[in-house]
Amino acid sequence: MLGYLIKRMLQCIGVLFCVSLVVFVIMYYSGDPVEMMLPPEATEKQVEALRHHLGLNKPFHAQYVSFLKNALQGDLGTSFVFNKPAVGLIVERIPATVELAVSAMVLAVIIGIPAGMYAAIRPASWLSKSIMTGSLLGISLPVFWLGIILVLIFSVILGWLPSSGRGETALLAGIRLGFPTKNGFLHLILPSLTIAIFQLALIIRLVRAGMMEVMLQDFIKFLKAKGLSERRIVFVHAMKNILIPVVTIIGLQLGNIIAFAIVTETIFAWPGMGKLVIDSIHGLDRPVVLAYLLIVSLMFVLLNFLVDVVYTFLDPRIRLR
Amino acid sequence: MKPVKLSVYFLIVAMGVLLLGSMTGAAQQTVIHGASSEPRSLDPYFHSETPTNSMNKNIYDCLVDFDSELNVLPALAETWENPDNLTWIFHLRKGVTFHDGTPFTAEDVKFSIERCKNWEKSGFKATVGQVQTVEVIDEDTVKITTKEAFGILPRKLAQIMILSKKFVEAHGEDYITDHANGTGPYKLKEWVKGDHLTLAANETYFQGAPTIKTVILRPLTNDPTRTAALLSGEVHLIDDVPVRDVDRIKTNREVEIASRPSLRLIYLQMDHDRVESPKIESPTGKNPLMDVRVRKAIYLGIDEEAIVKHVMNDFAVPASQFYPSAVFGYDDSIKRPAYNPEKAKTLLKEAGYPEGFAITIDSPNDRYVNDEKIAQAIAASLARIGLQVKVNAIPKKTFFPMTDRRETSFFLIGWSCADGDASAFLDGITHTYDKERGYGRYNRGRYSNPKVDALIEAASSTVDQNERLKNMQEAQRIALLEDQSIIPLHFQEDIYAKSKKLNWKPRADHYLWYYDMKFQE
Repeated sequence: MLGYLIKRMLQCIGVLFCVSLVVFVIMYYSGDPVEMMLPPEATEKQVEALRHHLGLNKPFHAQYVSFLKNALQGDLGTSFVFNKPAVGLIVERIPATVELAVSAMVLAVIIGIPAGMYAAIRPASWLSKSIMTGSLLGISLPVFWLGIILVLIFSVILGWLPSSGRGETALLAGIRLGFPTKNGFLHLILPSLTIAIFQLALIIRLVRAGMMEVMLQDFIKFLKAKGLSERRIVFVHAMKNILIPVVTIIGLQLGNIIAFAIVTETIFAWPGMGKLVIDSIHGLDRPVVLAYLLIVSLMFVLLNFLVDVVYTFLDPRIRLR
Repeated sequence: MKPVKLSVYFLIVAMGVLLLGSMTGAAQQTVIHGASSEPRSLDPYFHSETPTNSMNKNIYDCLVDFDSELNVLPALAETWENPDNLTWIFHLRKGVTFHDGTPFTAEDVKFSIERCKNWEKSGFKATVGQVQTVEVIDEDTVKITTKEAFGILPRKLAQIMILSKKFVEAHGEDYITDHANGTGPYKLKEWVKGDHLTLAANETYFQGAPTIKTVILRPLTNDPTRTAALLSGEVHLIDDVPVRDVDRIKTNREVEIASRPSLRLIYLQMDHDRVESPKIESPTGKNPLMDVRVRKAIYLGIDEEAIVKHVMNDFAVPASQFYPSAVFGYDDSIKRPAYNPEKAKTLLKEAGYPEGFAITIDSPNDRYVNDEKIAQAIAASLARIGLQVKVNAIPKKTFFPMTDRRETSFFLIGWSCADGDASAFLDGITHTYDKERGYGRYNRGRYSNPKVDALIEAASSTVDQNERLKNMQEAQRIALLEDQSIIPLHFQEDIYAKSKKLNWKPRADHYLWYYDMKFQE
């Protein structure tokens, strides 16, 4: 176990190093942020002075080395656009994104697993058929379109739900969260639904396929012969066997949602990390983009690790090595 | 579904709508502004950028202010005078306090202007570049000297917000990035970045307590989101309404559109000084744009009314001159000549181009409202007077450096006189290019007329405003009417949409002063 942890740690450091280098190269060659920071009436001398102050006049390797030095001491730089430490800007937006991602995933899992199982066990019923058609739709609808349509229906036409923002938030253990307040909860519904629909469709299809396969296996026949109730067979024995791919997908997709909720966050003006990073890319705000991608990579590595650990509980044959 | 059930369903829906409708009825003293862009920093010298400046202007005051038409008004300075061309004495308003209760004094003015000049990250260095020294004469008097005569100093100072010296020194430079202590009509209450910024009324504001007691700015950067928030009644006011949403907003009875011409002129620059210009093919082999008759023919041959109507959906105003009427230097005697293709053809014939010539018009495609479509409309319009115009529309990242390198003969570009004075346009675009003296930085067609240069320099060497106005108007008359240095097209309009209950008129500078807002009784 310890050896495994150390190996994972080293891998993680390698990944972070590669990410920082690639992002640094891309941002270095995409243009000069100083031109965008000063008004048109600024003189050439003022532009030079600011460039010098930010250290942008140095050659590439010098800039990268000084970035690495600072990064090892935990300083990922100060945003060019906001004049605030980049890590702080991102960290203060993590709760919003994670809250959105987790509530979307919970929604998808709560509905998706039972729906998929039902569709597998009663494939001929009209409900199963509509679940499958719906899931096909859910997979193919573009997120931005879905978001706008939901806003149009539920906010503009019906006026039931707020169209944007986070609404009221409450502090829970120092973290700003929306779902404990009624207003915040209402604000959470549309964006999490927008994200959940694709995930839901994915889980339904995955569960259904897995379930159908498992139900044909010998041990299920054996259990039936033994006289176990169908409910017990499906919810205990079959379910355990389909959960491995489902957990993998949930882990990966959760990472995906957190990192790439950008479209949904933009449509719903959700103050998460995605919106910040898009604005920062447009503003050539290198410290923020770098810090964001490093944090997201770290998160992916951790989530994958967690998924591996969960496997061992679901399937005792799997060992962490 | 049975008819009975259906009607029950509708009843529930209707009740829900009614209930929510009554719940969202706004408190009459709170304005919620759905903004297309969030302020970047509450440090008023960090970035000179409209959304940031606009927010900070509600929290801080300057020595002088602009009214909504950009006339200069006294603010923290009550009066000022010029003992000579280089010296300004500002008499400060007495009894003004910052939000934390400390009194405002001359020391704060000196500290603010010097920080603006010297702070490494200051985005306003150019604004106060002409300021030589700031001296405190006594608690209520400040003396400012300039390097050269600088008649537009008050207009520049209308952009320099005054910080509290004590506050900044006590908390440090970085603290004021998201903490504010000004003298303005609103205090900062809370700023959750990306979600909302809340302001509370400063009840002891020196011009009287604001009518609107709470302001909430919500950054809604996505266009459809902003429009939806207004239509669903979640915000009272949105800015930068996309033209395609205007009709939809007009069909809603609760809201209305508010628009006004902005300060931005869209215009065409032409190559004035090269016999062989890179993107022209003329029968004579020479650059026809060097002939004033050709330039005038192009002006007369562009059907600007049609561009405003069909390309800009009427959200633009045909331009008669370099700047709109809110700018000091505007000349109301100059009218735009009517579209006249016949006269244009005659002028071309007189100039020796009866068959026209081939030319490329360069344009950005992501900078101004409908920029590429405007260039295409111009090409179509000029085809009718016999020119073969090719449109080359490219992203702004490549377009601006290209015009700077002068790899173009004829191009579409914009300019905004942000400080409400004509001098920026005349110095930057009309004066002969002179890198050493800092003139003509954007004169990328290299128009040059010594008579005009002399008038522009005369205007900037005095602090007498009448004298400046006379010189600037004369300079424009020669450059535009005689020489046709550039071809004005139109002024873009700023489009806002607001609740009909909110009384408010847009300003020329696109700033939102919540102090001016009021709900109907």
